Amino acid sequence: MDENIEKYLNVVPGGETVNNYKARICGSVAVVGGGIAGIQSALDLAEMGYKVYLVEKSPAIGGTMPALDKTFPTNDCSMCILSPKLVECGRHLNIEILTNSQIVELDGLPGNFKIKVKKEPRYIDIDKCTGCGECAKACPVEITNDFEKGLSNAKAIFKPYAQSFPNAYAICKEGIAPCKAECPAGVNAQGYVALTRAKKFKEAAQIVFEDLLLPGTLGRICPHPCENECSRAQAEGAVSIASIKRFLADSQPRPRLDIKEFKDDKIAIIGSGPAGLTCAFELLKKGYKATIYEALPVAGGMLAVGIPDYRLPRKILDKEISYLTLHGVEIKLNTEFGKDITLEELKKEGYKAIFLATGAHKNRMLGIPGENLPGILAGVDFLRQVNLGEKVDLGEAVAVIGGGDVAMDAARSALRLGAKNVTIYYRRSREEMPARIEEIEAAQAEGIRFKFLASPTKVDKSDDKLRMECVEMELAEPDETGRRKPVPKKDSKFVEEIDTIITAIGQQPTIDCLPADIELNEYQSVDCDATTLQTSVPGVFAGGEVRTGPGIAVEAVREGKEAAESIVRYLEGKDLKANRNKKQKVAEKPVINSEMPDVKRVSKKELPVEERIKDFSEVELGITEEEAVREAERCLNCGPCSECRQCEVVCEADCIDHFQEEEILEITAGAVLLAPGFKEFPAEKLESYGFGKYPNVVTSSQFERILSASGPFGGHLVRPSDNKEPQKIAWIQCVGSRNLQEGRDYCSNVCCMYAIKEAVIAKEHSTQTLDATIFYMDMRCHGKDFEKYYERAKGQGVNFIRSRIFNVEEGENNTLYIRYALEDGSIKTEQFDMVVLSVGLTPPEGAEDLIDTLQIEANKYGFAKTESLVPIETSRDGIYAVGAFSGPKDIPETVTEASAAAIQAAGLLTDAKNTLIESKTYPPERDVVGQKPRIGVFICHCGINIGSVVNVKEVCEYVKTLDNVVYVEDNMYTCSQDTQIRIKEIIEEQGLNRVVVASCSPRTHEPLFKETLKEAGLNEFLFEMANIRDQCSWVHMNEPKAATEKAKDLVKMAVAKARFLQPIKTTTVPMTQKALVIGGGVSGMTAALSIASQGYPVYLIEKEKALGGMANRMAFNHQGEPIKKFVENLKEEVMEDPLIEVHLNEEITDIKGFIGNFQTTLESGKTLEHGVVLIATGAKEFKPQEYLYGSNEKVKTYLELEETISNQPATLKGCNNLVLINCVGSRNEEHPYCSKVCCNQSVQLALKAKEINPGLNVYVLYRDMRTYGYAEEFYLEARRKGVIFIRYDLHQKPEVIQTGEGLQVKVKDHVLDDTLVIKSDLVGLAAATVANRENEKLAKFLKVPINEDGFFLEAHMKLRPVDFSTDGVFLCGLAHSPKPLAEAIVQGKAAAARACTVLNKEEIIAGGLTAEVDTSICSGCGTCESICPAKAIEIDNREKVAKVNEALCKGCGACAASCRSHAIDVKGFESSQIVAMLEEIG
Amino acid sequence: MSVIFSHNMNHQFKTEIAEVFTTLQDKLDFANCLACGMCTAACPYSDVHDEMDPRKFVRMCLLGLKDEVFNDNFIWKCNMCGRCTMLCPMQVDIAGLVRTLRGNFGLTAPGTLQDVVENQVKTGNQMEVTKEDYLETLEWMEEELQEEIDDPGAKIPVDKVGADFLFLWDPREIKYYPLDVQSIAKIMHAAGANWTCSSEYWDATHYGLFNGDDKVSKILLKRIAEQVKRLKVKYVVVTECGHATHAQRWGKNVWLTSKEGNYPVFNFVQKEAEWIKKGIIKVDPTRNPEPVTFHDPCNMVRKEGIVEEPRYCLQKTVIDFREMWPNREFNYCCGGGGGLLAMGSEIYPYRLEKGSLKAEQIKRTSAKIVVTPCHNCFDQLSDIIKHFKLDVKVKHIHHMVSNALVLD
Repeated sequence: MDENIEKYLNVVPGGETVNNYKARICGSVAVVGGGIAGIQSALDLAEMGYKVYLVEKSPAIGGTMPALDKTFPTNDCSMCILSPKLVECGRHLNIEILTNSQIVELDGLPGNFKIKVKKEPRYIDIDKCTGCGECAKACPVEITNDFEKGLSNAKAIFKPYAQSFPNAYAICKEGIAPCKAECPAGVNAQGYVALTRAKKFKEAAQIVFEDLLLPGTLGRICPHPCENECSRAQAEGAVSIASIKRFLADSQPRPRLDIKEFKDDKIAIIGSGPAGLTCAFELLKKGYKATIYEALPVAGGMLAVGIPDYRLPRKILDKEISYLTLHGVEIKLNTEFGKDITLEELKKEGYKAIFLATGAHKNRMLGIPGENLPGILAGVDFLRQVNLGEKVDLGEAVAVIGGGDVAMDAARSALRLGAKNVTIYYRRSREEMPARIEEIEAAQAEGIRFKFLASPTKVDKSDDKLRMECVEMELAEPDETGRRKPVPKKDSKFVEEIDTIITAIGQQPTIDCLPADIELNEYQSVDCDATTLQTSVPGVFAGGEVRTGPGIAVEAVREGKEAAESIVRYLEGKDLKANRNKKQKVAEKPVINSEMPDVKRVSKKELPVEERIKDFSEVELGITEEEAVREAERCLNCGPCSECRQCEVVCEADCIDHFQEEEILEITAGAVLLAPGFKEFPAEKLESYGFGKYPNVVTSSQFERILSASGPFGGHLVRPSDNKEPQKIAWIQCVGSRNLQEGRDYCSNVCCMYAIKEAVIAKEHSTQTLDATIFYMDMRCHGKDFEKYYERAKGQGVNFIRSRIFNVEEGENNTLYIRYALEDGSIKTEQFDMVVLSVGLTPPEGAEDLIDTLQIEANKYGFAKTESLVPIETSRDGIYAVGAFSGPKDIPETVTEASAAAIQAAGLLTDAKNTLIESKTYPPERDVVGQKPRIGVFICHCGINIGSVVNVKEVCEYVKTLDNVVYVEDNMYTCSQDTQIRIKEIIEEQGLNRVVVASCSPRTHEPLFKETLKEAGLNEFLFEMANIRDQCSWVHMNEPKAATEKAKDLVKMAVAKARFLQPIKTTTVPMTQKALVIGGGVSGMTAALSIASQGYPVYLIEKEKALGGMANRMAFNHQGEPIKKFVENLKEEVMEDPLIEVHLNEEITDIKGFIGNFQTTLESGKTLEHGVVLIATGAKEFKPQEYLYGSNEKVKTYLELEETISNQPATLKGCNNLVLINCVGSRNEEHPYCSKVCCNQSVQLALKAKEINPGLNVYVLYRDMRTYGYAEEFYLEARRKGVIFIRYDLHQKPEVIQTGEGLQVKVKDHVLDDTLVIKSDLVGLAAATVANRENEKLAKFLKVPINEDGFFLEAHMKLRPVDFSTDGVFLCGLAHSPKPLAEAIVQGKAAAARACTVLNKEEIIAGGLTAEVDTSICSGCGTCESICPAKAIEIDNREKVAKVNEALCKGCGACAASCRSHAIDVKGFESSQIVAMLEEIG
Repeated sequence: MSVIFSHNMNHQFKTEIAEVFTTLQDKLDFANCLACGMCTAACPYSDVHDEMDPRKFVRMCLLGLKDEVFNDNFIWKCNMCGRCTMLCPMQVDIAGLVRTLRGNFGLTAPGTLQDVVENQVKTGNQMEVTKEDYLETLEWMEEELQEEIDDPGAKIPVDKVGADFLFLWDPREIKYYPLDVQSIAKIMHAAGANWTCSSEYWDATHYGLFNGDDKVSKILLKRIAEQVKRLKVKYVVVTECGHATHAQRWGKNVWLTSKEGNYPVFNFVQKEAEWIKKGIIKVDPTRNPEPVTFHDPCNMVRKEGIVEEPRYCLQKTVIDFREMWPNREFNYCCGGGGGLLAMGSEIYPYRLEKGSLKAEQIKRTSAKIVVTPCHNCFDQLSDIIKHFKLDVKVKHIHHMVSNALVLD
């Protein structure tokens, strides 16, 4: 113990005292990553007595598993086996799940890390969200569905998958859309565009009406900066946002504002232009009625008098302005500020705040002689006169000077007033013209002439004509504005004769009317605070053109909005500046790809030229509803959330908060476990396979979704291009693995097996015979039972072709062609309907940042670096790497590592164990005895698993008719978190006292529902389950009618039984907090030390004289590292640990008892008491019967060779040829499994031999090189060093012959097809690893199973890899299956962790569904005692009756069936209940 | 199937090869081979000729079967096109391996290939064109050009010190296709290029690339480097010839010191594309109305990554451009690569068997002109057209460009 601590004391520079260390350690652990690894670690730690923070980056835990279809080698549904774990983790009291979170800072020491966690906003309150999904239905924005790997779309408000935990939605926001960001007034363009696309015009218009008083006006005249930034502008052209806005404003009725209460404060607004009007509007929304003073006889400012009617009809503007007056805002026309009313007067009248928005109506002068001659008009004055209906006589020839919008307006108006020749003179070229291009083009179309690079210098008048003298200009270098500066050309003077000249070279702010105490700036505009718009006079604000100088209307709108905000703050006495102008993150523009359909921007309809120049009728005609929708469909959803806020409208739970912000949480944790998983290799990088280019080339993860019942095709095997069922599918292996070119020279470990599984499942899914072919180099089926799976797949007709694929080509109908070479060199070209790329594993997204933040080391591929003898440990103390984060791994290995990491972390924090945990309390149980049954039935659709076959609604209707059933409902997923909450509510509401769930298997889901009952205050045994999936919909999928009838029967039976259910009491049995470890090899010793580190005593039993097991014979591990010292150290540690009692040379003669209460008898007669058992009995090396083994001393097993190499290296010095033969006794009929270690051992032996004797020729004869994971690097090294690898087939094995000249090995070279005859000095045989015979004895003692190969069989291959179904018994090391040292070490730790979850309990719960003896009937005959497989019944000799040990009884019912007196019943399965079920179906 | 005895396996062979392997990669990389078969599938000729199995060839090398390797047809019949290993996950370079074996183990190149190499070393160019003939041809073509475009300012500068670039010819252009000289010079003139030819060493071709003789290769490369130095040019432009481009670009990195080879090398197609793109030369595609397809020379596309420039030129200078399939770096060798074209008449039927694939490719496009910026491919394509009776003409890119040129 203390030795253990000592390791950690040195972490502090200069060391640390034990007391200090103990004082600082903290009983909590942070686990990063909520995949299966994170979940398992969290559960183990929590059960071991530590508080866990589970930090998950995404909105839901689950990781990769939920997206997988089935798992190998058991073909379990991935989601189904994971789901209970998700729920268990989710509801665990001592696991705090932080979603959308990541660690951003870590400080402190092992035992006590201070961690900062950044929690990104989810925009949903997960405590309130019920997961109902109404929001997603309302959401108009579709995004790529990442969970479905891009095969379908999701909404911007989404839940990753149905069973997600937390069962809550999340909103995908990358920032505000560029269009909105670019709009000066911040109008939410993406929002109304999205709703227009959804044809929710009313709602879309509401966004516009909310943001703008003058949408119809702006929809016509705004130069729409939003469209300049539109992402679609990168392609065929921006979305016509302004047209959509205009369409909405024109077509949708504007509802009245709902103002609850008007405030009394008086506010004056000077000027009724866009700034003034907007300010009044914003104030109105907040309950303030302002008064607007306007000098002109009309309201609208420049909008009314500066823009001609053909662009903006007066009635549109008037209607929009009238919206203000409708709500009581008063507009006083013909009231000139400074003359008719002054600032002082306003103040006197009680106006508390004033907004100056007088605009810029003053014409800028040309500054040339003759400028004031009659016949020369100022542009704005001219337009005002026209707009006010005054008559203006222009004559025939009109010159307009200037290049801006006012010049265009003046010219086009002049044309409409009857001028024959209108010419625009501009001193630069067309490129520099500031007017909008549309305006210039319209003017040109209407026949207005342009004279560029011309500037008037002087005007004379003679004979009623104006003589305008001009010069030609040329452009010099750009000036400070970036525009090229015009300079007069020498001798270029010319003269024009003209009737009227209109000057339009710019306007200036209207400031003459302002009082003197309003300060001005150097540009002669009002000087204000840029944020608050407050002038030098408190309470007086200014905005719009009077402040900014001439600008566009929508900028004035912004000014109006800002002014309103300031005024309200001013009136309410708030800080004018606080929290304003916050920079919001702008979403990145989506990348335009070539697949995006090309949809041209809507072409606006206009009046024909000949029509329009006749009068001032509106030229642009707006777009239709259909056009608006089509245009909106072009939007690329940059947000992607459009913030249309329709989700808020429909959300009943009130859980949506669009303003949620990022949070930084600070947590303290004693250790950190990193389990962020992996990312798949980006298949598009290998362009020759056509992923992303050919629709029917998919990645393996996409194929998982295609196969999945909950996937985008509902589990129907179809190819993406045409949704037709493929008849031929090819799998291409090693996509992004074993590839030096891509810098990924490792093997990804899992692809061979998942490809086989996908091929097998695809064949099952196929309605016709599917031709499935896997192209591979080496089939790597090295895990437990993997080889059998491979063989079975061959039997089922999956084709395996040993060839690496060069490229995939596409032909007609998206059919794919693969040209490949067979080993004999022959070439084939085959056609496939679909190609699946078995993509490899790479470090997860964000791995670099995580590694950086935590300052741990990465390996050359970017995975976390760990060492093989201390797996799981990163380079930094107290931080551990779990699962695929340290390298590609399959699920069992990941889960094993998760448990191992848990105890590793726990070992650091033993002294703080149980200090931060809470225990669960349930509400008191309701007494239902004697009550009439009130049964509630919940029927599950299981997505489409049940729902697509069984008519669930019909079953519901039927069940409602059954007696005692008071409540029935159907659920999409009855197991989901929200349904649990619902069930509890229903139990309460309806007063249920029995619950029936009709769904899947009780094996996986019963504990979940029972827990729900307990939480609802019902005894957990008042629950019954009907399996209408596995036993109904799955097996009768082609007979939906009959299946529905069967489902009714199954539920009817369950209900019948439920009527007779009674509460069952459980009892507790004390726990002996000691462990027994059987086997003193590396895994056993590791397990013993780990358990001891948690403070529990351990008995370690070893049958040999010394500890060490198989490792005693090994010289190096799979990485070639020497291990002798490591093993010796381990032994020493074990021997010295005061909590470990080692029994050497000792065998077990009996084990009795049950979890918490085992008694073990040793050969020596000693009896040991303990609460748990760990089996670590190891395995042994097979004694080969072939290749002259045993008869020729030059033929050795690998272990023997390893001993030779380490003890007598000189033996190799004189040798020329060494032949190593793999798979001796493995992967054959006798041992149909892979011994997993030999391939790597052969590579290491070859390398060691070469190291000793570089001249030695080494040949490795193999069947498949299974150098999985990073071991691939050694395989490469061996090839580079000249080791020759020759593949052989089982039906053509090598021959080893003794000749007169010595040993000779004959083997066929797989490439050359020639026979190689190798004169060998030494031959090594990869003898299989075989199970110990003694396993059978232990299996009987502990009632645990062994498989057909003699290895122990764990509870579940994927998710319970070191557990047994028998509680309190665990396994590790070679007793489980052959495996290398590193994996045995991890398993030892994992088994210890699992054991400690049990040992941490002070008592265990017994009873429940156990046998019960009616002693009044029992005759004590003893039949039951002899028949009980659990050894749970004994005859009490005194009373002559049978007694049941509840802690041992498994409730199997054998006793009840055998009892001739009917004296035994199994609780929960009583005869009366079973009879009732049977009677129901007659 | 035969028997191989371990005492016949020379385990040192691998090391011997590595020692002399001329490459920019690790010299031992060919030993990475996993025998996965990707190369065999990638070789377009693996099912045309039995011996074209790159995997087997590498295997023999790695097993140390020295005699078998040197007697293997693969050595001289491989086109060294590099398609087999461009995607090799183990970074094996079979074309490099073949070259190494051809040149470093005392083999003599078959047919006329060896003579070509020796001529080139001896006379300065592979076709033994005398300096007089060469200069005369340039002069003659200069006059022709001046006449054609009626511009006495059109020049073919020789030994112009301080020009922007040195232009290297293929001796075939000088000896057999002088009109090519005129065509190229016309484009140069239209572009106002500041270029020069060398009067001394002007041959861009490099048959040392094919017979694998590194000593020869070094001599040839040094000659060019000397001209660069002598004429004080900024860079070198190689005429439309694939292997020459590869030899001049890759070669200066392996055969010269970094100081000696401190000059960029471009193919003329790159310049043509650049000039069109920048508007330096104006072209009118209607002058080339016939359907055109393009053959990617392996040495340009796979080994030098010159992929889009020739396409750009064609898109701008012809009306109807059609890709053959497969194309770009997946294109098949014409069948004449790797020096096969220079191996004489004996190999003619063999390379035309290879050419059958190309004939098919061309036929499928229904093009009337097949363009390729490579003289080697040009000849092989001409032979293919003749043999398979295709109604197609072969052209270089510059033919299309000069024909489309719009002179002010």
